[in-house]
Amino acid sequence: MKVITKLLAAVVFVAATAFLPQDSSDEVMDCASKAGNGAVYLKDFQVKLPEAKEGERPPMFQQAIVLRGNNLYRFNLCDKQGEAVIRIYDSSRMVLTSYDPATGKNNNPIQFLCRKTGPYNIVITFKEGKAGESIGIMSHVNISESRRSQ
Amino acid sequence: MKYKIPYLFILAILLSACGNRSKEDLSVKPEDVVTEELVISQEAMDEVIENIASPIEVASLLNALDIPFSMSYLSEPEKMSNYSTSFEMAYNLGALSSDLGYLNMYNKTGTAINYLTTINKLTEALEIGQFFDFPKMKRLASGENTLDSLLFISINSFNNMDEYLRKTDRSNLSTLMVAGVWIEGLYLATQVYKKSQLKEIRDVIGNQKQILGDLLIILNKYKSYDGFDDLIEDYLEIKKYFDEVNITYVIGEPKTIEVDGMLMVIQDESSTIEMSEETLSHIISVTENIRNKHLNI
Repeated sequence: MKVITKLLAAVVFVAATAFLPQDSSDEVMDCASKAGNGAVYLKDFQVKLPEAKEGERPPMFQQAIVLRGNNLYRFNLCDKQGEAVIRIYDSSRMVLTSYDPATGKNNNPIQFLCRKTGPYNIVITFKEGKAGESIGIMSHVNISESRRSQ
Repeated sequence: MKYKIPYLFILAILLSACGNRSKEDLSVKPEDVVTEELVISQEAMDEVIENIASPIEVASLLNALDIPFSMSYLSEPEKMSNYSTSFEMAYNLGALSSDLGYLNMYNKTGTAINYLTTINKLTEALEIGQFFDFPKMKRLASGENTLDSLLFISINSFNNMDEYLRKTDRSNLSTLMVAGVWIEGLYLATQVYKKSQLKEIRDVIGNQKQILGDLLIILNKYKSYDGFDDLIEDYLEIKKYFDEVNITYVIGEPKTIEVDGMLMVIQDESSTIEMSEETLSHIISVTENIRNKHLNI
């Protein structure tokens, strides 16, 4: 009887904790720590997208952000599932992509030296429209430190 | 049963093959991205608000320029814990978050404890204390080699509070936090410029023209809420001088370079900021007056 009670208590505990909201701050912090030297965390993008459906646009995460001119930003991705690609668009065109389809190279992290203060769109998708989950980190980088390292 | 497994396996392969479309079909095309949102409208404001002012960017730039630290640029947290309205508390919370960013950037973590204490009081009063781990932050502020963690947790807490306020239909308070961050950042930049006269700081100030314009769009959404009218009026007073600032952009060729094995994209536009000494002087004084008025200094 005691064994059954203990088993039931364990099942109830596991079921209860499974539905508790998971603190994602540790995962975000872990990903931010992978941004590299001189990066100060500014913002995170937690992305979970389903697989693309036939004939439809690939699912994408979009977030409008304000970037400041003469500031250096670094973006890094920590994939949990699939291979995430980050792109930045200004009002008229793409200004940055972490994946170059011509060479097949992933640039993670990637830096963006912004020259124009204003709103930009951050777009995150997964390669080949597959389902995926990732954390994107936007950091601020000390320009003079970056220059010193050149 | 033993015959079913291979069939299921083949079926799974066939299904997965159907889902494998070419990369070309699934790449993101420019028309896929909703660029209309980039012109900040009332409807799109909720998307943009969270990034309009960061409690760290001005401080990070000052630190990068080796500008000496000064407590005289900061607000007085002792005066801020006595506020009773959520309007005042949210606005002051933003300003204090900006000050905390400045203190952390300069590794003045011991001094930061006063600010953390007041921020803690304000977050509890605003019922967002669950996003501000005061004991942990206090421990980090008192410890050694904990600056990176403290910086992360401070900014992450601010982001989470901001997001929670917006999700719980208290975007007005989130907007006030952002407005507080912005004025304190501008005040910091203007005060530093008065002493340093550095072009980089001057440009930071000039570039606030765009950000103030966006911020006013957001503030105007809450014009009917208590206290917003007065704040908007004051920010319009600052805008009056920013309207005299002229920013022009020149399109150039984008550059991609590699720094320490990391790709860096350098935007192909450069900006020129035209701002007379008189205009700058007005911006400095009006910013100081309005900031001091709202922070009770």
